[in-house]
Amino acid sequence: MKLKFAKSLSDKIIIAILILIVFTYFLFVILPIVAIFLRIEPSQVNAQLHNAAIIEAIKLSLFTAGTATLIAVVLAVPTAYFMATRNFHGKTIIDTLIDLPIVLPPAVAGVALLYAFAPKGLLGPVFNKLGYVLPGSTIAVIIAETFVASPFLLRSAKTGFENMDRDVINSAKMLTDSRLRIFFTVTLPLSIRAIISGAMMTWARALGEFGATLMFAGNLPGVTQTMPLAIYVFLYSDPLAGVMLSIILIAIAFAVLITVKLLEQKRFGNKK
Amino acid sequence: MNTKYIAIILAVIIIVAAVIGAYAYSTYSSTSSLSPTPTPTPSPTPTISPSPTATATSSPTTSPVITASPTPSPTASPTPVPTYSSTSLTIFAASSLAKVITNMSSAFKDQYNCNIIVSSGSSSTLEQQIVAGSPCDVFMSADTKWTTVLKNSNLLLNNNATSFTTNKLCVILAPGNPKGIASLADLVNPGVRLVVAAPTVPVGSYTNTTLWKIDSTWGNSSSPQYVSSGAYVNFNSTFASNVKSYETSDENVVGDIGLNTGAYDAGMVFVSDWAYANITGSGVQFMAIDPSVNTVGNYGIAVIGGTSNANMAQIFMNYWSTTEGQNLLKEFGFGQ
Repeated sequence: MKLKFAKSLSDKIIIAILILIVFTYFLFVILPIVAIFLRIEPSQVNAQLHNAAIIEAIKLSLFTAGTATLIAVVLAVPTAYFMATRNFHGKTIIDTLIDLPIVLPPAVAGVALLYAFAPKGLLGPVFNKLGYVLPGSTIAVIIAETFVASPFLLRSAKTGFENMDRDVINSAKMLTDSRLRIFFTVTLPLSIRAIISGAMMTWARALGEFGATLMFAGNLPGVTQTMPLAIYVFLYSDPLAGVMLSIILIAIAFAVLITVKLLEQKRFGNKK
Repeated sequence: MNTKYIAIILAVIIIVAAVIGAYAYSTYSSTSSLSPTPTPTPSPTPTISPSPTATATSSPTTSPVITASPTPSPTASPTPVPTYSSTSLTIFAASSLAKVITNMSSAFKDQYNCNIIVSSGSSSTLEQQIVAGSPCDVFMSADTKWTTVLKNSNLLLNNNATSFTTNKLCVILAPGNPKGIASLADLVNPGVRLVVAAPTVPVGSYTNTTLWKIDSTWGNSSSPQYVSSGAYVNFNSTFASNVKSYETSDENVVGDIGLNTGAYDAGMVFVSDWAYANITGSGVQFMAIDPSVNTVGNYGIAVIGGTSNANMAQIFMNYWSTTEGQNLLKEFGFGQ
């Protein structure tokens, strides 16, 4: 690391402190993860990977998190575009309301979902007529995960859309009348990075969602028992298995996230 | 990087590490002597009692309150109240016991000047925490299995664990009993949504035992208790297909039903929850389970070896075997 720009002593001190802070923060985040990995026993991991209940939980987690992310993309990206480009009365309030799921403690989110969608909830009778009871179904897991995770995508996409250069859009408007065409050929490519990083956060949050899922969807192996729930149940009966599961979950999440990040770089070539 | 630079970084790192280390050390060494070091004065036998008898003649020094009978009448224990120094006990208790402990803790504090801190949860979880070193004085488990595990791991004081009460199961019904459940057989009707505890916690394992009993007696055509209507055949699996969630503790099952969101119609909990609902008048309905298939769970209690307050812990543990303790437990639905 060359420090030709660190000319004065005060500069050097500031940079030293900066490096120290960065180092401390890395340690802080990485230490617990390392601590878990230190307990790894490869044979045990292998055994757990062949455990039917675990495989069910992994499949369910990946399916629900993926679906939740897709739904979030479909619902949140247009909403983000709307919020970024339009001004209306009460915009700040709506903005805050849509961000609310992030601050809600997951258990509270779960109870809120129950009060909205359970048989005795607000929309309960509607679902009853359709013959559906949401709590206890996989759909409930997807709903819970979408609820808590989509605000991440919304925020990220909204920022992406806000930071767009309006001049480019205006030039495009001179060339074509189709809003949709402008969106897909100009707006989207320009803000795709923000959307992808938001989607990644959403997927990660959905994958790790525990409290709301447990409260709203319940804990039923194969139907609603996602990886976090399975880990929780195992931790209290067979801590070794619980630790192995945690390692598997961390590994899966890490693999997916890094793949997305690498793909992103390759696609655009630069490392801004 | 030039050397001055490196030196600065190293110096800062060392200083920060030293500060953190010093702080951690002082915190660590003070927690180990958390409960006041002044030896908790007397063991339960107040050594003060003999005194009033000795000074039967000249009583001016003794408190004017009693001593109406200078005769050293039997103990008259309330007279000289042994003074205990202020201590506290950390109790790890099964969630079904939380309320009954809270009920007696203020009287206990008045008498023994000892603060009761209750940490409640499922017994299996608590046992894990104890094994991992969480500071705890007394462990009260909803299944003697967990006190036995600790005993076999040599984590108990004097290797002593006893069973102090029992608890049975009952069915909890959603407010209003929407599915009209009137008997155990109704639980396996199609469309009934059940919530039970996972088999890894005591109430869940007792539930499994009851289901198995029903299956192998009432539902078994070669058993003398076979119920001829055939309503209980394969009860185990029909019940399981109605279960919509496996909760992680008894209180969570009660909570899920109590939320009254229509998500669940019935569940299996302890009769102590039934007694408590009656005490608080919460209006939640319960249904009894026939004694022939009900499971009686044995509750265990033990003082943890690492306790820093062995005397008070022992007093606390013994309280539950006294008539007063047993009566209190009965009031809350235990030991029936």
